[in-house]
Amino acid sequence: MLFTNPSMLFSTMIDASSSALSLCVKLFSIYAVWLGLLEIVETTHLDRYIAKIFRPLIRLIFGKVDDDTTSAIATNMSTNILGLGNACTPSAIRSISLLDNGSKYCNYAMSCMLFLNTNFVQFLPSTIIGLRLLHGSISPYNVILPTIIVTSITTIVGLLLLKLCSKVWVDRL
Amino acid sequence: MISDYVIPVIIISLVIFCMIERKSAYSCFTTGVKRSIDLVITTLPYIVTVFIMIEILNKTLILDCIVDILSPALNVLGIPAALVPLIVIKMLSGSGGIACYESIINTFGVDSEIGRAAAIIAASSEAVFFCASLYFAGTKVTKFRYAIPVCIICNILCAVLACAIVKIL
Repeated sequence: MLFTNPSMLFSTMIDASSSALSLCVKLFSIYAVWLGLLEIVETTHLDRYIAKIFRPLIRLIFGKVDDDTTSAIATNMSTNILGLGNACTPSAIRSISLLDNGSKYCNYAMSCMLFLNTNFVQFLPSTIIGLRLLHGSISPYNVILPTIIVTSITTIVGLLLLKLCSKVWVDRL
Repeated sequence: MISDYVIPVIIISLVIFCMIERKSAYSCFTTGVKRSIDLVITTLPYIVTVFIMIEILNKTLILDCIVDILSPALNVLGIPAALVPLIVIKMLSGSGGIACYESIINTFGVDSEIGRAAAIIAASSEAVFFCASLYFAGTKVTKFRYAIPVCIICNILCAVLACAIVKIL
């Protein structure tokens, strides 16, 4: 395209930024609902109960972290497991900012957080199941079990790899 | 379908729980909405930039070149060439991955081996570069070191496992 039709470049960039804007509007509507609900979770201290369930797992992965961080990570994990997609973003950003030590190097805990949001056990891949239903699959739900198996394996392998890497490249400021 | 009831049940029980705890659900919700405005404003510049980048890669056929280069290597791991665009685009953008999944099942059929493998791949990983740029927008982090390679290795491992598991199950 760059050589055959150079004038396209500028219009492509403008189109892309306008579709980015419409994505942001969609994201805003999703965030507004989920952050509204998350605020209810936080003011009623329900997140502390959720955090209690996830605490052993969080301690295993992240080591010692304070209560605020634990509850942010727990909220993120629960939305991740339910396959709520974009609803993970607010709690992920919050967890990352709590784990941030102000360094320009990504530390081990932040790496784990990024990893957990890109590959984590999926119990309910709702978007994909919906698409399979729409395309007339004979058994739209038969991908759930393989997805759980595959994501469990990759999650364990990835966390072990991260642990290994953190021993080689130690966190620094 | 049980999964249809998951979200309504969560929402209704939250509101009821809020009433039991004697907190105002209305004021909590509006605070949350206020926070979402800040969130969208801070993430907007990054989303716009990432979108422009992906669109240029797409239109200039650079993405096609990347797919061509990666195909032989991934074929060795048992991943068919038809799934390579899905794996590559999935790392850049989640919605792009969904679009790619749809075109694969249109070509090969939903219940074919490739169709099911594609479903597992599309369901199990999120866009690495998109998440990295979005989540770290508020931090000073510029050096990701091992984080992104590990995520990519696991995405590829996930694709390999998905292709293997549809042959068994």
